[in-house]
Amino acid sequence: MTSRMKPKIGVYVCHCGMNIAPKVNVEEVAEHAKTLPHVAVARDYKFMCSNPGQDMIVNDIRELGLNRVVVASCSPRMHEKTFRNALRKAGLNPYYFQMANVREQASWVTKDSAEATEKAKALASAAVTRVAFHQPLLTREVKVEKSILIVGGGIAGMQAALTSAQAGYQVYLVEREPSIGGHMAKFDKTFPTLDCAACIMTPKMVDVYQHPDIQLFTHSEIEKVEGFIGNFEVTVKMKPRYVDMTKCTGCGLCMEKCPTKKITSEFNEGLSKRTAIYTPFPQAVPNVPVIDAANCLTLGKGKKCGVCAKFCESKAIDFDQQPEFKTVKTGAIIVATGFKAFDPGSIGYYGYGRYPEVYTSLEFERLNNATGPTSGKLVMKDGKTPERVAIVHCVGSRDQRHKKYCSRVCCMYSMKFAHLIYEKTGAEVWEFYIDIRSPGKNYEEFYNRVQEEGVKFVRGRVAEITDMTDDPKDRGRLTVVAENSLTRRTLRIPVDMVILSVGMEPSPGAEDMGRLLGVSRDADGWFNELHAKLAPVATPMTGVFLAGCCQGPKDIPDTVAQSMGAAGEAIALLSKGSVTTQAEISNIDEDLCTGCKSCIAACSYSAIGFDEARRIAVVNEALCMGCGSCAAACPSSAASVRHFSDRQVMGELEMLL
Amino acid sequence: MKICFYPGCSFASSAGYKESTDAVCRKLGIELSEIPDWNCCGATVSFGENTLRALVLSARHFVLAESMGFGQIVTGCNACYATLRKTADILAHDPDLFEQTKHVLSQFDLDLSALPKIRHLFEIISEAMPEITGDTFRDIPIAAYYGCQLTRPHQDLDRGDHPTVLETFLEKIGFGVTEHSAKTACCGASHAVVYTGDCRVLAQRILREMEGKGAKAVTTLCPLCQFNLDQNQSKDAGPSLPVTYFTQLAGLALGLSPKELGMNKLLVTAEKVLNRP
Amino acid sequence: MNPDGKDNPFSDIGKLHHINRCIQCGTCSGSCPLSDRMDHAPRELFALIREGAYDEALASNTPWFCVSCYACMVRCPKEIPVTDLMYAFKEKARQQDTVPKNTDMPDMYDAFSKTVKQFGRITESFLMGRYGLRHPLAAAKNAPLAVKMALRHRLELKPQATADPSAFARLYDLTEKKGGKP
Repeated sequence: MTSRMKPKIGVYVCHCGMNIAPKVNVEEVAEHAKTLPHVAVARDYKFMCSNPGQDMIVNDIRELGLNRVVVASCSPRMHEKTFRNALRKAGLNPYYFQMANVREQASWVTKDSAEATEKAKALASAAVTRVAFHQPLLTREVKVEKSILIVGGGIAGMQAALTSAQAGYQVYLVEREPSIGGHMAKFDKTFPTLDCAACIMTPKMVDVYQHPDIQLFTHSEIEKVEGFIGNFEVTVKMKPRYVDMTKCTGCGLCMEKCPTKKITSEFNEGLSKRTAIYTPFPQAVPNVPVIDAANCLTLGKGKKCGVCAKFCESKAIDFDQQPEFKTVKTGAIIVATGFKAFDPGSIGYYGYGRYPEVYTSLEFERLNNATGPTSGKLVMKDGKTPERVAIVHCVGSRDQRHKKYCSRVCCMYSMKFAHLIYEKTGAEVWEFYIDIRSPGKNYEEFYNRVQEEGVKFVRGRVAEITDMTDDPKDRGRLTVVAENSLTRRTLRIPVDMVILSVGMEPSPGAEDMGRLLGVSRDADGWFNELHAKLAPVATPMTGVFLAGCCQGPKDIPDTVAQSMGAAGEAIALLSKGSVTTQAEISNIDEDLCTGCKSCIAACSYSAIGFDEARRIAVVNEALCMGCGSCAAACPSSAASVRHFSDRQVMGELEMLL
Repeated sequence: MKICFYPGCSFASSAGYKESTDAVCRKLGIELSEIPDWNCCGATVSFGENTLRALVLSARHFVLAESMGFGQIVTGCNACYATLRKTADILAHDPDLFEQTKHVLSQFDLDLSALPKIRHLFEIISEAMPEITGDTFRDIPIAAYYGCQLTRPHQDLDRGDHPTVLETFLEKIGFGVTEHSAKTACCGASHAVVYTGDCRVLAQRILREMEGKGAKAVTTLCPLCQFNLDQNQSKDAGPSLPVTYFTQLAGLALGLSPKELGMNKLLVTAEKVLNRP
Repeated sequence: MNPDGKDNPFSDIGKLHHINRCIQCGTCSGSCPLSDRMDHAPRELFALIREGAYDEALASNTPWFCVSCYACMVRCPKEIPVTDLMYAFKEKARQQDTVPKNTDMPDMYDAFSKTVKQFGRITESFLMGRYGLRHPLAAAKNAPLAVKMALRHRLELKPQATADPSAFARLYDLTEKKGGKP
């Protein structure tokens, strides 16, 4: 069928059950359609998307020789695909189809029936006029790389890596810290099972490290992302460790001997010190130290130290190491950049940073952990065991001045702390909450258990943490001020230690990562999924997926499930070995193009290249998203978007106005 | 420097606030142009009675200040500061109330148009005070008491919970500083007359905190704050801290005598602590 | 819509709609120096109004215990202007003639207001005196303090006044009915 044949249009007006017909007079619309030029047949029917409805179209095409089809029904987002398939089935190019949305755009939004019908007629007429100008379009198959790149090596990234590798894909896992493990590596026990976080995670870390199909880049960052779905080219910057990973045996002697011992440990949330050459934690993977260049005497202070090099029996220290860059081709990218804990320093009335015994939840995890600053002993900074501990919920969360949202995990980890404190020290635990959120499997039961252990739950958001006391005996202790809304009494409880249950916010650098990958973020900075309910791991950037907290706060079970889902989606995308590009893309007329490059500047997807020999712009059809910026920018009308030619769009507009 | 000054009802009768302000301003070359025939701003009472009336009570001074050629009004009382600011904010954002207020004021031949900036006396004095390098008072730890309505609800002068501008000022003028946690803890304010017992608990808690952290004296920037902390101390038990005004300490730093700073008016005397040759 | 079937007497308070966001967290009452004295915590007052229990809300002594410290307002996680609403509720109680009798603060405020009306300015001792007329015991309790103040030359026996105090009586009359949007 060439486009030079006279159009023979079939128009189908759908009742859509009770959704269109009662409001819009569908028979009248069909009758009106019959009067339009080139319309060979116009029918109305109850459910066009049903099998009989589609068969009607197929039969008419075959028997009446239709070469164009218009369906006036619901939104193209619902059934454009369905009807295009019907055309395909009948042997017609699917782009000879146009849909008029008379449901969402007429029936559902117009009060008056007569008005709705007139509008439907206009929409149908516009579609009929447009479709007469449609051209047959072709999609292309583009081969894809059988590899997946994952940004972030926490539990989300690691799980996605393992699932992808299991399916036989080459995996690149890029982690910016010296070790994989993410936040979970810092936890002591996890709710509700009270599994030891390290015990359940280190096997995964080792699997990731040892898997032949997973290439691990630690202490590395994404430098550049180019390419398109199925064919991304990602440049990874491997920051220098100043330790040769091929030579280091992980003996740890360098760390013992390093004279710089007073650097604040990031892994221990500032509660202890580390050396300049260090591994973040004992179970670090890879078990190779890294030198903190800024604080190293040799590298950062211009002194001639080199003690680590002196003692290293494998001669693995390399002060001259430079950053290395490696570019890998990957078919899909999974973002698993995790989260950052909210800093409660901005909430003055909670006294964080002012009173030494006010801790954030992450700091407390480290205190409680056997590999932490106190080897897991729950003691205060003066070495004494606390007799009474307060846990403060919703710090910085559900708060319009800080983070409006609920971070979902804090109630559960707060109760976990209560249990662990009680178990370890027998201390009296007071938990101050607004609501208890325990929606997961066995979560409510965990709450019951902690209640039965005698934790004092007070339903009242803490108004103030202060060291002002009423009883001179309590000098040196902290006072928690809160209303117990259930007993309607204002409490001033003297405690020894306060734990602030802070929420989550996006990981630092998420903004830059989003820009590199073309993934947008919501008002709170979390990456936007394609559809909140039905497409939670995909992004509008095809080929880029999300896993874990970078998409929104969630606990470990949900993170792992989502990672597996993201890996599954990536695998589904790549499994056929090729992807179909879309047909409605830019087209640059060679004869009209003057080589001014305005279109290249306008393109947000870097989809237009320049042919130096012919001095014209050329569209990379696999990258082009059909946004039309080039068509608008082009001064010589050389660039246009297929399926959105001037004739098509103007024709449609004329009938609408 | 000439500033438009609104004293408020409690200024003159307070424990030396007026004397010390006048003396310090003279020394610093600040001319206080008191708004002539000023009236009570309504403080924490008027808005709970009749909004329009409350707006008029404060806005009268906006007209008077404008006619004096000033674009800002300075006051030394936290309640006046908060009330004048609240009035200016409401009139700036509610055209209906602005018109109503304008109409009532016009019945008194007052034409409301511009809304001035409201500033606290502390801002003016702390900007004008020179740095004092001598050590005369440096070993006397002073607890700064901000009261409630200076840094709340508007937290632009300093944060609402643990502010630091008054401590910075004390260091600048050569006094010692006690860091403590009662800087903005409420003393019970105007409820102290009716609910003496409850407010005594509040004031005592504040004083105990200050004394417990090593303070030898207190400094305030509001007549009611000074009054409540001053009069809630008993000679027999509990803390005993002289409660001064920041302008009195500024005056001492500038070499003025306690007498001319009205320090004899303090209920808990400051002689033992602050008398330096 | 509400149990009593009455119209909401608070509906003309411009900032009232903010109370719909209250999640009953208790920060307001926890921050309040005198909340233990109140009939209802501020959040309870909001809940009463949302439920439609207007009579109980109007009769509550809660707003009369507000000291205007603004601690609740700067900490409320839903940014409800609690203190401003307390002022509005006091004004409303006066308008509706439901000022509670179980607190003496309204009398203190009355004494203050009448003094402004009479003189245009407040003189502390005079205010005490006026309040003492209704509450002689309270006045008596404050007598030792008055003596101390006198000894420090801080007891003003003559009330301070503006040049034309009658203007304030006029102002009070002019604004009596109007009230204005709180």
